[in-house]
Amino acid sequence: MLSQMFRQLFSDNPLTAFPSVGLAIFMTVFAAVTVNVLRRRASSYDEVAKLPLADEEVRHER
Amino acid sequence: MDSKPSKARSAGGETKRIVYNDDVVRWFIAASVVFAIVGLLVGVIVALQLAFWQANVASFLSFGRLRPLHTNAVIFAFVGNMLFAGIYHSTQRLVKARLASDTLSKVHFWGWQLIIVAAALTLPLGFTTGKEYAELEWPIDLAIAAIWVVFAINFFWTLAKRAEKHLYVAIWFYIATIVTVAVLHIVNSLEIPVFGLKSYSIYGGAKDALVQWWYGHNAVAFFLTTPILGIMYYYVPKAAERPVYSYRLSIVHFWALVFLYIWAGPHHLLNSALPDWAQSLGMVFSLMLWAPSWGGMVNGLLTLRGAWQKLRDDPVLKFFAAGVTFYGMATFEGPLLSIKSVNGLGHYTDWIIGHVHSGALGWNGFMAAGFFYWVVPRLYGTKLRSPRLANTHFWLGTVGILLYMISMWVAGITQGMMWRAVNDQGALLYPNFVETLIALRPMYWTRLFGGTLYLVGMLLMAWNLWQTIAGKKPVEASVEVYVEPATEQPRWTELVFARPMIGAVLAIALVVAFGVADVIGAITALFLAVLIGVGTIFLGQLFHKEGKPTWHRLLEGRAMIFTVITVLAVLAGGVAELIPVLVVKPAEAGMKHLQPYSSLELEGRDIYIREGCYVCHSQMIRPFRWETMRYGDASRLEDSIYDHPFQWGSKRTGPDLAREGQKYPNLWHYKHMTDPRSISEGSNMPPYAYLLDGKVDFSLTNKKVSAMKSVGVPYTDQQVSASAADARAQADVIVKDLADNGATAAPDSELVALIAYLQRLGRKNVEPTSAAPSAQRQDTR
Repeated sequence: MLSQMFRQLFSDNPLTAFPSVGLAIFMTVFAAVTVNVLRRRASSYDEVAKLPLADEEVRHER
Repeated sequence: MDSKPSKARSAGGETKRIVYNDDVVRWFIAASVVFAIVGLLVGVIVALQLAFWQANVASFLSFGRLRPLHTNAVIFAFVGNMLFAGIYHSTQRLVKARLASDTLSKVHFWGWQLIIVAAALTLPLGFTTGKEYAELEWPIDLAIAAIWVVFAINFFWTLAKRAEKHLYVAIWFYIATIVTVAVLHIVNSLEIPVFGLKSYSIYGGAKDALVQWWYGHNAVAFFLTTPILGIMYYYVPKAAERPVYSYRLSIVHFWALVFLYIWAGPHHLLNSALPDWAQSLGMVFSLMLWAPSWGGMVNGLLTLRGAWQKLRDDPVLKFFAAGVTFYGMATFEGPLLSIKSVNGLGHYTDWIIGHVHSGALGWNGFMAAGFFYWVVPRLYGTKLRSPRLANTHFWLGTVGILLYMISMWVAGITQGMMWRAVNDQGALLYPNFVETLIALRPMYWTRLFGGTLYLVGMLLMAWNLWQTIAGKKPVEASVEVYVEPATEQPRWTELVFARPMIGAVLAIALVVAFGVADVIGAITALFLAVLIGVGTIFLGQLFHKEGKPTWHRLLEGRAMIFTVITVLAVLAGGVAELIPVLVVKPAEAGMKHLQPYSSLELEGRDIYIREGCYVCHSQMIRPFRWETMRYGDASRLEDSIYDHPFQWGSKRTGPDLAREGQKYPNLWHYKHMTDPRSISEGSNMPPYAYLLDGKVDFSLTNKKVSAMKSVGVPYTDQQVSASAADARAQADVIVKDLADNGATAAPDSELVALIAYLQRLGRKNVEPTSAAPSAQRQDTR
C-alpha cells in the first residue's frame, strides 16, 4: 500500500523523490536537535548565555 | 567567562590585551545611516508616483527604474551596511579577537560602497537583469561575489584567531548568513554576458522563476533575517543587561530556521504554472516556519523580562521590543499568505507590499535604530545627545509603519476582492482593471503619508547621532583576554564520526528506505529508525560523563565543522527543491510548435525589462475563473520557456500581460504608451513618449540573438545571421500599419520594438507577425 502510494507520487517524475528525502532529513535532524537540547538542564547553558555580558572592555581616547 | 582574566592573574596565567577594530564599524554605521535616508527618500518618491503619476518627471526617474533602486538601496545599502557593522562589532567582542585584517576590512567597506554607487548609477539608467532584488548587471554581480569572499575571509580568519573558544549563538547566525548568501548569489546570478552591461539569465521560464524566488525569498531570510537575529541575540541582552531568555530555545531556533527557510521560496509562485509538488512543498515549509520564527520572537521579547519598566525611558529597548514584535507580525503574516487560498486573494496585490514593509521598516529598520542608538555613543565614549528625540523618532516610525501596513492591507484585500467579484450572471463586476486601481488611490496617499513619517523619523535619528558625535573623538576599546594553554582538541573525525552523527545518518537512511520499500520493508525501516534514534539518545545519556562537554558543545567550538554542517543543512533544501525542476525537460510534443521571439520582439523585450514594466505587470494568468475571464487561458509552462529571464512578475499595479498579443491594434499600444490616460482614464502608468525618440541599435541585435541561442533558445544559424535585417523588416511592417492609421514612428524607434514584443505575448505558437486585429476589442483597462 505504502509502496503503491509512493509509486503514484513519483510516477510523473522520479526526481520528486529529492524533496521527500530532503523533508525526511529535515524532520530527523530537527527531532534529534530538539531532543538533544531539551534533555539538558537549562542551567547547563548559563555560562554560554552570559557571553554577551562578559565584557571587561576598557575604552580610552586614541 | 568574565572572570577568566582575573582567574588567569590569580593563577599566574598569561593574559594579553586586544584592541578592537571599531573604525570599520563606525564607517559602516555612517554609510548605513546615509543610505537609509537615500533609500527611504526614493521609497517616498515611488510612493508619490503611484498616487500621482505626474511625479514621473524623466525617463531615468520613472517608477519602473526607481523602484528597483529603492529596494536595492534599502536591502543592500541600508540594511547591508548595518549588518556588517553589527557583525564586526559583536563578533570581535564575542570571540575576544580583533578583526583579522585591517586591510580586508577596508577593502570590504570601500568595495561595498563602490557596488552601491554602481547600482545607484546603473539602475536609473536602465541597466538591469530584470530579476527582482538581483537586478544588478553581471560586472557588478562579479564585484559582489568578490567582496563577499573578502568579508567571509575576514570573518572566518577572525574566528580562527579567537581567544573565546565557544561560539555564541549570534555567531552561528552570522555563519549561516555568510555561506548561504554566497550560494544564493552565485546560483541565481548565473548569466551569459552579451556585452558591457547586458546579460541573459542562463535559466528560462519556470526554471528561472524557481531559482529567482528561491534566491528572492532567501535574500529575505539570510540577508534581512538571520544576521539581524544574530544582532538581536547579542544586543538585546546587552541593552537589557540580562542574558537571553532561553539559550536552549535559541539552538532549536537556529537549526530549525536554517533547515526550513531555504525550502519556502516557491510560496512566491503559488497558483502559477510551476509544478504543483513544488508549490505544495513551498506552502508546507512556509507554514512550518511559523514555529521557529515565533520561538525566536518569544525568546527575544522574554529576554526583556524584569526590564519592561526600562522601556518607558530607554529608546534602545523600545526600538528592540517593537522590532522583535514586528518580526513576529511579519513571520505570522508570511506563512498565512503562503496558504494557497489566502495567496489566491493576496498575491499580486498591495497586501504583499504591506507585508514586506512590516518586515523591512518594523523589523530591520527598528532593530537598526536600536543598534545605532546603543552603539554610537559607546563608540565615541559619550551619551546619546537626545533620548527624547529618539523617543520622538520611535513614535513617528511606529505610526508611520502602522499607516503604511494598514493602508496596504486595505488596498490589497480591496483589490483582490474586486478582481474576483462577479455579478449574478457570472460576469466580472469590475471588468476594467483601472476601476480596481482608482479604488485604491486614497490608500496610496495614506501609504505616502506613513512612509514620509518614517523618513522624518530617520532624519531625526541622523541628526541626533550626528549631534552625539559632533566634536567627539572616537574611542578605542580594548580587553584583556586569558591566553588558554594549548590543550588537545578533539580531532574532526571524533566529531564527524561521533555517536550522534552516526545515529542521525542511519536514522535518515532508514526514513528514506521507509519511503521507497514495500509494506513490510517500510514498517521495518520505520521501526529501526525510531529504535536507532531513541537508542542513540539513550546511549548518549548513559555514557555521558559529568563535567565532560556534550557533542554539540564540542561542535560549537569548532567553527569549520560547524560551518560545513550549516552548509549541508542549507543545501539539503536548495538541492532537493531545485534539481528536479532544473534537470527535467518538457515533453517534446508540447515544444514542437513553439517559436522563439523574433529579433525585433527580443529587442522590444529588452526595452520592456529596461523600463521595469515587470514591476507593475505580471505575465502569469492563474487558473482561477476570474483571471481567465479577464485575461485569457491560464498560463502554461511552455508559454514562458524561452523567457530568459522569466517575466511572471510579483505585483499587478497594471493588468496581466501574458496574453496581451493581438488583443489590440498597434495604434492602441502606440497611444497607450505615449499617453496612457488617452486610452485608460485614471491609469497611473508613467508616459513613455520618449521611447519614440529612443533608437534601437540593430548592430547589437545579432549578439543578443546569439546569446539567447547559447542559453538554449532554438534559433537557427540563419535566424542569428539575419537577425538585424529581420528586425528591420518587421519594424517596417509595424510602422506602415501605424502610418495607415495616422501615427508616425521611425522603424528603429524603441516604441516600435516594444509594440512588436507586446503583440507577441501569449502567442508562442505562431510565426512572428505584426498584423493587428481588424477591430478594436472592448477596452478592459
